[in-house]
Amino acid sequence: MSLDLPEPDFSLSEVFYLSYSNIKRRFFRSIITALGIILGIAFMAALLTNSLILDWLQTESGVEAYQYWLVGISLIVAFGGITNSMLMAVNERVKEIGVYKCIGGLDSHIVRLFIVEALLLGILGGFFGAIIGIGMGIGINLNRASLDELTVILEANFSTLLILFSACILIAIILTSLATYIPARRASKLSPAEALRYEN
Amino acid sequence: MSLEEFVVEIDDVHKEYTLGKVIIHALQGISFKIKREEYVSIMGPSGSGKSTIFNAIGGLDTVTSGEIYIDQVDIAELDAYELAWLRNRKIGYIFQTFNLLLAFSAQENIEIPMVFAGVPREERRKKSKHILNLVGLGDRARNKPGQLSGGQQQRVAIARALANDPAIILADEPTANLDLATGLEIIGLLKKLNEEQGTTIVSATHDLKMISISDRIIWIRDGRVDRIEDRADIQVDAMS
Ligand SMILES: Nc1ncnc2c1ncn2[C@@H]1O[C@H](COP(=O)(O)OP(=O)(O)O)[C@@H](O)[C@H]1O
Ligand SMILES: [Mg+2]
Repeated sequence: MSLDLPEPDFSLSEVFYLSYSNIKRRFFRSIITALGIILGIAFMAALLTNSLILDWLQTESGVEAYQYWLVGISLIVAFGGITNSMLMAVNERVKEIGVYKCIGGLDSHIVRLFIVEALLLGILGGFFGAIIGIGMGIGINLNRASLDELTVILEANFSTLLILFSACILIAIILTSLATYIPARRASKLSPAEALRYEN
Repeated sequence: MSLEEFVVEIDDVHKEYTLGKVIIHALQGISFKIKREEYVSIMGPSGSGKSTIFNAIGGLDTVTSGEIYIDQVDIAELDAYELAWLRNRKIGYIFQTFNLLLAFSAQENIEIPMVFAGVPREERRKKSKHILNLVGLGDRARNKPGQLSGGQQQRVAIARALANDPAIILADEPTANLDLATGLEIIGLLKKLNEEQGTTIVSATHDLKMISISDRIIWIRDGRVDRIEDRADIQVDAMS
């Protein structure tokens, strides 16, 4: 069957507007989701900053094995926290996906709406998580070195910190998008009737 | 009689739901046709299969067997993209629970189907305003669903259903969540759209208030068409 349909035009500005409205309307829920991301990223950033500073301070043995463990664990915590937040956020909204499908939304439209929302939350959560985490990572070393010492070291390694900061945001974005894409894609594949009667 | 007269044709439709090992035969060979500009009520007791028919005609769920034509298009042959187009342009849906998007104002709820249809912004604004006036909510354009009563939300849902000038409006128990007076208002509005705009309306319902305004009533029992009554028959029935 060919109905000879034109490509629909679902411009980026429309997508952003719809996603932004959803975040705004679900403000407190969005804040909770963002907090989940912030916590995960902050924990990871704090541990990474701490091990970097220990390295820079040239504690005799350099970075110790347990530091690698901690970094590994922090990545897992960030991963778990963020995926959990995002999975829940999508799961709560399967009915809404059903509504979008009933009024003519394509699966790809719907997934795009959710991904843009995840991106916005990921950037926000990554940014604040990185600031808080790096700040804490520096803070916990104040008993190991004086403020002056730390300042010198941090200034000397500023570019590394900047990379860490960007990496945190990047990881937040990747994790939130992935943890949104997979369930949103799956939910958008449901028939509208199935999606509408979905109970969390 | 030309084929084009029928907006909906369904032929020997079966639907089975599987719940674990149990198979539920929700529809057991449903056939009927609906003419353009008709107002048809699908009536029957709870569990008789009305919502399943609604989902089948609306392309909202797959059926086990049988054929469904909307505006001469066999919906079984449509791919996902074409089905979305059908839902967007050819059919407007009204639900018992309204199913509005809560993040958006009344006007935006009407505009979103137009966004999916690629209607330019200016035209969307104008048209959604016009439809809101038509359903009597011209002054509530900026209100979110949470700020509207049940009856007003259902009006928004009706307005949304009209957004892309569908060939047919499908409703599933549109008055079931409303009190008597509000239900009557909604029925009156649907009838007005049917008479003044020529909108074809098919409504699943067990609300007897719908009987008097329907052109035809399709009575469903245990997943089968029990009988189909014309308005003339109904009046005869009522008198005898
Ligand atoms: N998703 C489902 N899974 C299993 N059984 C269902 C489902 N939806 C409906 N049914 C069954 O199909 C029959 C018809 O249901 P439905 O179409 O909802 O009736 P009505 O709308 O007339 O109340 C009922 O026996 C109901 O229990
Ligand atoms: Mg029902």
